[in-house]
Amino acid sequence: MAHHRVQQWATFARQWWVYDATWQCPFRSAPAIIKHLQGKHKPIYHPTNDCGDHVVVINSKHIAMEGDLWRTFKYSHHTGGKDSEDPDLETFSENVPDEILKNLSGQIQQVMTVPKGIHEYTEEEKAEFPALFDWPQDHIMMRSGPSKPKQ
Amino acid sequence: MVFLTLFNLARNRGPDKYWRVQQQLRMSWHFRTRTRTCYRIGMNVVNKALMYSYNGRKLKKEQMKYLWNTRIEAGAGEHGLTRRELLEGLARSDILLDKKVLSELAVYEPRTFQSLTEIAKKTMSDTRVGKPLNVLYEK
Amino acid sequence: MAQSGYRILSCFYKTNSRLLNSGFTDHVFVTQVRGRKRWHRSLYKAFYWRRIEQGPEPERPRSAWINWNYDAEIFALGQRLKEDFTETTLKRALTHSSYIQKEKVLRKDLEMGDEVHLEDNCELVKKGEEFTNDYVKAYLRHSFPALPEEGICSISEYLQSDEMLAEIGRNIGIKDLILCAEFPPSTATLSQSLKAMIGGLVQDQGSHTAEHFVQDFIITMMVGKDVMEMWEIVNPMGVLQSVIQKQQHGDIESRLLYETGANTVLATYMVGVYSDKKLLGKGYGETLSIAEEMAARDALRKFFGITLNQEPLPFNEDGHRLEIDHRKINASIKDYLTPSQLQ
Repeated sequence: MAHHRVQQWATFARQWWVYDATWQCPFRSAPAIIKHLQGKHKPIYHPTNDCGDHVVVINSKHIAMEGDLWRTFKYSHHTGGKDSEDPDLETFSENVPDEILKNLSGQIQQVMTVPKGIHEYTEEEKAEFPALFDWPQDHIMMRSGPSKPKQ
Repeated sequence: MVFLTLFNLARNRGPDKYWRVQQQLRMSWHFRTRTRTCYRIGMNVVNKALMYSYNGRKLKKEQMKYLWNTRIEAGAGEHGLTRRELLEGLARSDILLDKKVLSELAVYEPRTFQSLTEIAKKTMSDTRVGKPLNVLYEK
Repeated sequence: MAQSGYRILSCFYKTNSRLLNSGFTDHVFVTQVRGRKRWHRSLYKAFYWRRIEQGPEPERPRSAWINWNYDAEIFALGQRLKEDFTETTLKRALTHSSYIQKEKVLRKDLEMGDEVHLEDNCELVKKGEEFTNDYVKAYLRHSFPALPEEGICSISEYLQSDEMLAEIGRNIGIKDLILCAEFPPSTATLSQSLKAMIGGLVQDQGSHTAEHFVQDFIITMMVGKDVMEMWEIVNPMGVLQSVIQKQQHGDIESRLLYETGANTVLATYMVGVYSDKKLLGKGYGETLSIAEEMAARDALRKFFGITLNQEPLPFNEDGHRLEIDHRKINASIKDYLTPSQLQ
């Protein structure tokens, strides 16, 4: 019977997944994460069966959002109170505690491929890249790479 | 009924209501409060319950299909396939397993299910994309 | 609700079709019965309470009913099992010594003399028991050539336990046919009767037919069951080590293959057992030690040829075609153990 007992234990084990949110659209990431939280990625899924897993989302402050949504996005949340307001988008910037990182057992595949910025290429790679024309000598190049925050 | 004398008509009290009450109580034993014990109060609730069970019999079939789809999706996902690819591949390989059986295999016979996904993968790569499905009853 | 509607009161129409065919259909009377009468309620209630006061019916043997035909039932049993028992042997196999004793006392009380022309099944039980034990073990040794003798004995004990044999006997319907003093017959009596039937079969039809009978009815109880449940291996890691040493592999090494939720109460580990960089088996559990033990068990399954996904046992035509060597005996687990482990 021991075999059946541990088989049961392993089948219903709660797994811990990590999801790297760097350059990921939150609206597209949500279905992938929800699937794991509900346990819909397991064949034993049943609406009344408690088979959901844990998901740790890291780098949530590096998510990618379209256009101006960083500033304009608001969660729809009506308390019904007179002064109630929809809360703004908020991301956590703290590091994940080590005791949680120790539980992790797998990684959820990212929904979008992370693009490589021009500033991530080395000078050699840039020089090797075939150019269609040469810039005139007096041309001033636009800034490439992250801007400095305003003081 | 025909009563030849007025005396017999006055005497007749009709059928005993006891049996009708008993039949309803048999259906309301699991309700709350006086709906479970009183005939008149429980009447509407029992009718409503019968309506729910009638509708539920149809809803159950839809919900089971939804559950089977979810389970097949999950089982196929473990081997790098989508549900549509798996079902398409099995249909093209003339494997006529329905969704209920496939979902049961995914839960209780994971190795059998894995070999089915292997067959589906192979068939999908062998057959051209535009090729139509095998027709079951060809004339 | 109430059983209103039409009832056919005349039974002509239902029971006597000959009358119906010969033009007597005019005699069918149909009357209407409306509802239940008011006096039905008090009557049925009285019946209900009377039944409760009386308590449940005592369990009676089938032979207590008047339409019991012992000879016909005995014949039907042989036909059901598709075995050619002689009637006397089958009757003898199902007669216990306790029944003969009881009959003797009864006849003495009635002053009928104490002669009872019945033979009990003691000899047949002994014969059947020996035969079954011999064949079951030989079959198991043939089917599990790598399984140690201790395992063979445990399985055979499980298959020949009184509870198992009594269950088989009940399923083939010998409960009502047994002649014994007690009722209902105990598990021991049932199992003895089944053994006696096998003994009778050896006597009547020879051992070849009896072997098929044992295979079809007793060994089939192994179907869908795990050998590890019938045979408990103590200290699987130690046994595995000895087996590995015997086969001259390298030392055993346990490696963690997978873990999840290590800091939670629902932690799960998966451990693999390696030797010479080859995976022998893997197991899972809530702690590392349990997972390691299960991995050792998994590896032993492979060595002893009792994996969960192996071929099913040969039955029916395949089983009847087996050529079994009755003298063969499997290696004992003591042969694998080192002297220090034996102490």
